Amino acid sequence: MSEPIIELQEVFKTFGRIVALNGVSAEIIQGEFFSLLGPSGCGKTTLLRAIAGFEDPDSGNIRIDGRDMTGVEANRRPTNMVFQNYAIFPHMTVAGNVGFGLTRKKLGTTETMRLIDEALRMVSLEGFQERDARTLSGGQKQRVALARALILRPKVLLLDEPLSALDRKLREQMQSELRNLQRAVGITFVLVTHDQEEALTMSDRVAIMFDGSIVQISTPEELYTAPANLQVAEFIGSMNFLRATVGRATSQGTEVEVEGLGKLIMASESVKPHSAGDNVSAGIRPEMLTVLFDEEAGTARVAEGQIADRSYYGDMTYYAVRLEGTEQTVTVSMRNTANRPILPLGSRVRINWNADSIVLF
Amino acid sequence: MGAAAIVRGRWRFRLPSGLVLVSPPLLYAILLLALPIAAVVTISFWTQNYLDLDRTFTLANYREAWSQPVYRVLMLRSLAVSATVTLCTVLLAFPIAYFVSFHVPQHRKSLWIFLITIPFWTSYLMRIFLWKVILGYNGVINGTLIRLGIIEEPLSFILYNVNAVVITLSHAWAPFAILPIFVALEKIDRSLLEAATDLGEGTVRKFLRITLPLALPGVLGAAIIVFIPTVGDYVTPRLVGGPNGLLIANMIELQFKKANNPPLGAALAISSMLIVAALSLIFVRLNRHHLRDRS
Amino acid sequence: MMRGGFRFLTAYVAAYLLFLYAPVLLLPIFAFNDSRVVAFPLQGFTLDWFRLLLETEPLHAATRNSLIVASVAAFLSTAMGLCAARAATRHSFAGKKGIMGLIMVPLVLPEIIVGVSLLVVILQAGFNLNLWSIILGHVLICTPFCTVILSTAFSNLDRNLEEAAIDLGETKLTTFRRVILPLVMPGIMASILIAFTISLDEFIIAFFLSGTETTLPVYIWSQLRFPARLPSVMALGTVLLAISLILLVSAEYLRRRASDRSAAANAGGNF
Repeated sequence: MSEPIIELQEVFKTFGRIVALNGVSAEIIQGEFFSLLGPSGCGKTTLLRAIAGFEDPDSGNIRIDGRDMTGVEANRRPTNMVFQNYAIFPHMTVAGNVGFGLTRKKLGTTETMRLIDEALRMVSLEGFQERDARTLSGGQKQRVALARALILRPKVLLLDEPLSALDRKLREQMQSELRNLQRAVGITFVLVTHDQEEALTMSDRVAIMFDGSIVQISTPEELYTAPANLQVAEFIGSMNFLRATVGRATSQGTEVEVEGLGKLIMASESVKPHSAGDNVSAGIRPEMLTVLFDEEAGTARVAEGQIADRSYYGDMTYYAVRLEGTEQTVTVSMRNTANRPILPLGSRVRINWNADSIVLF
Repeated sequence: MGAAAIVRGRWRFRLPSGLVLVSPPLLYAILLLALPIAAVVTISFWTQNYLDLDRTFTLANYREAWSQPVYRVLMLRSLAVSATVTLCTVLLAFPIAYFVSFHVPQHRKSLWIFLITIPFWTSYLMRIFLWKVILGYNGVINGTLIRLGIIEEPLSFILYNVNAVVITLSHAWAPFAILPIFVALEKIDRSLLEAATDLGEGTVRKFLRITLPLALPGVLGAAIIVFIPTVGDYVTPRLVGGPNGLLIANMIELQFKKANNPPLGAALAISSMLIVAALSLIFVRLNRHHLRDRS
Repeated sequence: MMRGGFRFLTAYVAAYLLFLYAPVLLLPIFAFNDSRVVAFPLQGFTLDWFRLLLETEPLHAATRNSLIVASVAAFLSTAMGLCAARAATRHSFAGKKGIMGLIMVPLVLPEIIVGVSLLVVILQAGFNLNLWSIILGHVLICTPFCTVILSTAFSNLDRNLEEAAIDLGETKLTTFRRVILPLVMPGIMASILIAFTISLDEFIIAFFLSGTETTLPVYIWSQLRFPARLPSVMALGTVLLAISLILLVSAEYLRRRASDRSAAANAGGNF
């Protein structure tokens, strides 16, 4: 089952002096929902377009379903694409759009009609066949774009920021619909997005790209809990970074001195690339820190601090806490529940934390 | 992610497809525009010997074109007429462009522009000829004025002279002045004007400090568009200009046809083209300088 | 102050429109005026001048020539414009600015220069002046207009539509036929109509480059010298005005439909 459907080997692409793809290598597995996530200009769209055949890599190799794609035009590749603005042909009906790619297959009218009906049912647009494409709403256009691509049964469906043009409500609805659709058809989806939430909620695996290179490929959970480097950690969610120094290794683990949190023992495994005496950054997510209320006892370790700032979000409150014995502040996110008051600025608090949730960079 | 690069990249054999695509109109322009003009330049250095061309290089034609008073008078008159026409046309056109851009509701604007251009789709010759009917000795204007008792003798200064040429040309080039100014006015962000009002500027100062400077590129474009072709106008002076209203283009035509002296005609044509080009360039330069200083 | 200024502006606009329309309004008046002299006062209504048009053989020949020249020139310059506009909006290549500049030069070149230079070359090359020489000149001056109109049509066309067609299995050629052509068709029609109208009305180049066969404007020019022919020239002008108006209104209609199309295609939002 874990056959690679797309293999990328050292793909390079430059536009003039700009390096869009700087030696990208990756494998995308048959049947998975794969996302390319990164800030704008990181090369993710170029990579998608290179897979689709709209960009020629300067060097490197793209194989789809075991076949080398060098010199294979976009119209001969077993991929289809959903464009960012959907690219619905305005001079055709919905059926004309959805059946656009079928005309080459010379299927006969009845079979074509049947496939169009089926594709429209798949995206919940039954009965839209004769609608003028120009009269569709954004969400409907997207469904037509999906049906138009999926009707050709591609090996891989490529989606270029398909949800970015939709408003928030519709976007959330389409996220789960896309996910369900992908499970139903079993086709490999490759999604380009700059929205980390979108990538995390929808994907089986996420590749995160910076400056033309893939920095990490992993499941959403791994990406969040064990970011490969500082850049990934900063890009995905938010994270506190504290200055730290690696100490000596003991039988229980390695000692790490974190400014404001004190000395702690970490599993040697997670300290690995660093050695004794290294100055490092200790990262910890805001939700992995807790403010202890009066009588609550710390489960693992406790640090003292003072609330320097706070932002109220309704369900959550974010506190900026200045830690004792350091100039550094950490952000702590607290779910607002009935027995937890919103603390005023200047309150002295105790922060609870756990060594397992610290990542060193 | 340059779009051009995408398209280029799709041609495996790396022939720049844009160049292939543009080659028919390009070759056409080279063969029927660049080459002919080069030929005119070449001929201007030759001499006409009755039916043959003497192909030895000479500057005699240019010497004649620049020293003979008749050519100088025609050239200076052409430039003066063009400059006057340009000034009149642009000044008359600006309020119209302003009106359409600022006082006509959005959905009616293209209708207004259409209305303004309609008169210019009648035959060019007819339009000029009709000005003759309007301005003539017993034409519309004189006839009306006499019947109203305002004048007793028909006015004679409005036909068969330079005035008639200026009036007729100002009419003929009106849309070419209105459209660029209109486009420039349309581009002005209306919130800038609201900001100026908010900052305490009155209508007139707002116009002078915001609208006019921002519309200036359109006004300059309009001036260039009107100035360049009017220097070469041939029909208007022939029809309404009278003997003292003839311009350089009529002389060029005369040399090429009746006088059978194409080299001299070519030298006159090249000279006037160079003068016009030089004046236009200086004009654009000066204004660019001016605009840069302001910003 | 503002009201007064506005009233002044409105009055000015009315006066200016009268100035713009004065010649056009006179045209039909004299075409139906029962007098051999084109001057006021008017003498009464007649259709004689239109009847005379039907009987004037050289006029028919000139009209036929003009239609041939305008049709061929409109077709050729639109084809040229298609190439230039497509290259300008979708490709980058060495010397693009200079090349496009050269193609657009006839826009700012006095027509007499175009006429004279073509005349020199055609005569030097030993060719005869005929309708083709006029067509050559007209294609040269119409191409920039066609290029501008078609560039707008192409740049309004969403590039993703072409890629989507290729992605769905079409070739470059079938993409052009199935997607690009239908979407820029109104632009092409507008370009043909504008070029046709320009060529039909063009005088100076036709005057320089016509041989024994002349076009309509050259014929009109020859008639303007004979006062007796003037009323029928007015009638002719009226007919031409009506034709241009019909052509222009349809061109404008097509242009609007084209921009409606692309606007609808570009709007990705909800209802």
